[in-house]
Amino acid sequence: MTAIDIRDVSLEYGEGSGARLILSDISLTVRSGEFLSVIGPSGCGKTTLLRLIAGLVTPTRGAILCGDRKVDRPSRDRAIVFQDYGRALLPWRKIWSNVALPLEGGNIQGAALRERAIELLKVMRLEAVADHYPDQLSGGMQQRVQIARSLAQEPKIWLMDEPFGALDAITRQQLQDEVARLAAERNMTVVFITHDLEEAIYLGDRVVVLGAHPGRVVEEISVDLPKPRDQLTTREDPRFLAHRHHLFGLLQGH
Amino acid sequence: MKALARGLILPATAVIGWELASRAGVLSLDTFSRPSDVVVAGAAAFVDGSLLLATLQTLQAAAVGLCLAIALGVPIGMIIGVSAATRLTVAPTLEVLRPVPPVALIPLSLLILGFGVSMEAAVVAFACVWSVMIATTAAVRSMEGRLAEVARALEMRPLAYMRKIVLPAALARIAVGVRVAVGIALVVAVTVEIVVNPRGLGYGMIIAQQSLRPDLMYAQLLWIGFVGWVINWGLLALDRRYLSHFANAGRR
Repeated sequence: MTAIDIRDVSLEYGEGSGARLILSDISLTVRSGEFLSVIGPSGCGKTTLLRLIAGLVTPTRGAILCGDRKVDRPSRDRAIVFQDYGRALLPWRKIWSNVALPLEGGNIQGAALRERAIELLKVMRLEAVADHYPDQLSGGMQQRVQIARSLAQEPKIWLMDEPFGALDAITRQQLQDEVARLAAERNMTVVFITHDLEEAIYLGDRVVVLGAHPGRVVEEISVDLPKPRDQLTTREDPRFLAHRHHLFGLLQGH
Repeated sequence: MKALARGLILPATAVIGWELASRAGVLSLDTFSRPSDVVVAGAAAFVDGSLLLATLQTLQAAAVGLCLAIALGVPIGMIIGVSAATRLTVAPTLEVLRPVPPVALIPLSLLILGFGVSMEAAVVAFACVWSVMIATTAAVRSMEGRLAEVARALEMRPLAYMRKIVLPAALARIAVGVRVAVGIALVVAVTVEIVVNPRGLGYGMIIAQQSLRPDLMYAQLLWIGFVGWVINWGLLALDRRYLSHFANAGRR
């Protein structure tokens, strides 16, 4: 079943002769439950593509369908995890309260709200810092908080915009495995933007490579590596290395 | 402690010089009094309660006016900050009203409200609303854009967005505007009392001056300065205590 259907989407900024083409005729489909990695050089519009799927930006031409509904604005079904966790969290709220934000105004109220938030924090092993403020946490922990908050939405589609781009290598690998596990457990459809080639292959069922100026799809590959994946064995698998070899060449423009 | 001692050098020297010059006959007693007389007059006014009553009257008018200014300035500033359409509609009117000197509204508010706390508070409110409103608008407009997207992604309704995101994100900078407004409130309240309103510290000073009691006038003058300092110090302490987590909510 198709979860996201991107049909001939183009995006321009500006008008008339000053118009700049950011994305050109992107067509992609993402199956329900699929983990799609999107990779490309900086300036290829990969973040813009994610914002289009999120509904934060509307395409100049073409359309995006989620299920059978056209995307024209954000929806709670599609949770976004931003790269800049430090700006996406509410600095005046404690950690548990940040996670509770999507739950507010729903069925859960009062003390149950905090309990539900703590449950979600436990999923990300953050329950010990529930009563801290974001600026008291490391970058990796802040990003875990944002992930916990996005889970509170119980999204069908998980949109991640270079979520680990600013984190150190060890934290990044831990979070990669957690995201892979959560996506599988909760049967979420994931669009994962990254500039890290190995990360794209390691996580993805499929990898889409975007080219720059204007942003367009250059290549699509299926990653035929068994799941769940393993930081050591998967990365040493000859198929992994073959994908890496192939895509590396594309990204270098060969 | 050392810093305090250093800070006291200048005023102490001035007071001693003042006292000596007065005793030597250099300064006329009719206009400059004598620090020792000022202390005595101030203590007497303190003991008979007149100084505290006048202080409460002034602070009451300043506080009522300030609350009005916040009640008007924060919501209007937030709406103007969020909505460009409202900004374009409302800004020209506000720009014309803003340069009107608050003191020029004294005759009008006297006409409508008569003598008393209401007319004084009304003039204070008009004087204070601008700094609150402008600080609020600026705070909202410089809000971290990512937070607005977080709210959109959660399909937050406009009122919830204002309450949960915009107001807290702007709070620290609104507090700066309020602190400026507090200073203005005191100045304007005392001015209104000096000019027309028969109550409070300003009125007390003008009466002391007219009844040839410069010692009492100086005592009240110094007292007003002290009250203003205490209030500002208290506000800064409140800021530090409660707004530290709000302070970094702006665009970095």
